[in-house]
Amino acid sequence: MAIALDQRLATRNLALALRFAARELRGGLRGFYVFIACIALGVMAIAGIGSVAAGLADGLAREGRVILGGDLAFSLSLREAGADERAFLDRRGRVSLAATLRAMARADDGRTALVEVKAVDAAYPLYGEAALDPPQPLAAVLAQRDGAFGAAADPALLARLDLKPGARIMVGVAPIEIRAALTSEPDKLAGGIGFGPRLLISEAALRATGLLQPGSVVRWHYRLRLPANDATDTGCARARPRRRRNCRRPVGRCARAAMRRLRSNATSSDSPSISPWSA
Amino acid sequence: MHDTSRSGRNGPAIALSGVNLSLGRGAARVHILKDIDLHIGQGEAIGLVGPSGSGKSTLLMVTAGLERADTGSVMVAGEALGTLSEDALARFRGRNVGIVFQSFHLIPTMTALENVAVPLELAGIDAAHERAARELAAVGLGERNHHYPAQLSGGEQQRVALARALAPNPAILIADEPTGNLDETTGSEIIDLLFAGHEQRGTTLVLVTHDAALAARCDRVVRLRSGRIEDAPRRGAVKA
Repeated sequence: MAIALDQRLATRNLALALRFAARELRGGLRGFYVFIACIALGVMAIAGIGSVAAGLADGLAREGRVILGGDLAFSLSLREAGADERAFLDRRGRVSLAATLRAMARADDGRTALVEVKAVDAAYPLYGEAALDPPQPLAAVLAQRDGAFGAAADPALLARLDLKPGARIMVGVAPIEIRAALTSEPDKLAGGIGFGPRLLISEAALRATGLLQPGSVVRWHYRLRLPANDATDTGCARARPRRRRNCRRPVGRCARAAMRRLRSNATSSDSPSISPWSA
Repeated sequence: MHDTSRSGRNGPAIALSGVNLSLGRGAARVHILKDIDLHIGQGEAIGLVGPSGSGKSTLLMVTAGLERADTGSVMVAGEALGTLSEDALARFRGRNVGIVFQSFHLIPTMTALENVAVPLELAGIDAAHERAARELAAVGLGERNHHYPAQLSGGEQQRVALARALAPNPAILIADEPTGNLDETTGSEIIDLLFAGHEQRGTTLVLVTHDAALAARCDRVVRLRSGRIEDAPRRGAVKA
């Protein structure tokens, strides 16, 4: 009997509390809208950040090879890879070399401009494509012709030095003929911040400039394209030198693991190092 | 000690004996009520007057069980308030005490009808809304049941507050300067309703006011000064 009475009282009190709460909510809806708006804004912000992060991760996973220029990338400062190091890479896939440095470009009228020189070999690019204006094969643009090496230059450089395709500039002691505007560079993101417009030349042209001197601040990048059936985490691990410094690998087939490694390796590769590899 | 006891119609509804109360802490602690002895008979109307800071409102708070006396005994409607727990005090107030404040204190999210029904619903009274509607009609607001406080004038809001205070038929009706926020005409109407409710229901009325004419309408006037009861002039003997 007493229990039934208690239950009736509890039910009555609960109903009363709910009735009062409903009345309070009725009058406080305006404030409640602000609360809901805050929640919505917070959720939107979190969802937005999540979407951007996911988009970035997906983009990197999808375009990682193009951005990095290969399945794996190795870099050295101040020196080239030794013969054994190069042989190590060559045994594992197709290798492309890209050397980067800063230099002064001098036009015929005496004007100069700081340029970010990228010297590439015939295998460049392993992934993606350099967009040129006018469109033409990259090899033809960079080839030596009429006593001068060719180059593709960032349109900003053309504007700065008032150059047109066919114009010649001097880089170091080598005459360079501008044959195309470089409108898009597939691995530009991997190069980091540039202090001047890009000047894309061949490896042979770089050697002809006389800029490769002991102490020259040149970074040598070796991009490795693994065989199609070996671009997995296991394959990448096999191709990786035992020392992790200066080693970057973007994306294998396991995008998530590859992204983790990319972040880790990108951090380590940002620190200039002259430590040698061990194959 | 001042013995201001006056015999009520059926014995005291309120009996305060040797009540002292200090509020605040440390150096800011103030001794507000000092040796208060006050007996109010059932159905009696008391006018509580005095300058600002004399302790009138604090005395009301003690009488309503909203403050506990430091010393002395407080008997209201036969209950010794000092022995009751907070929950018991709340139940006691719900059954026995109706309060009308100067600034109305209506719940802004509820209609006039719902405001009046609140104490009835809390007391578990059936047909609370029907009874609340009757109380509103009694104060002349039968047509304003579904208006919110913001849609009512100050006088109408105070009428709602009065209806709310009277709805549970409390033994004690406490009014703390109920006309302080109203113009003279509206205030007069409220006072008429207040005294009508007091007389029709036999409710004991404790009215705090600065208005000497209003206090003179009470059966007895108690004057407070610096926390002490000065004297207790009978009806018609109050000076402004």
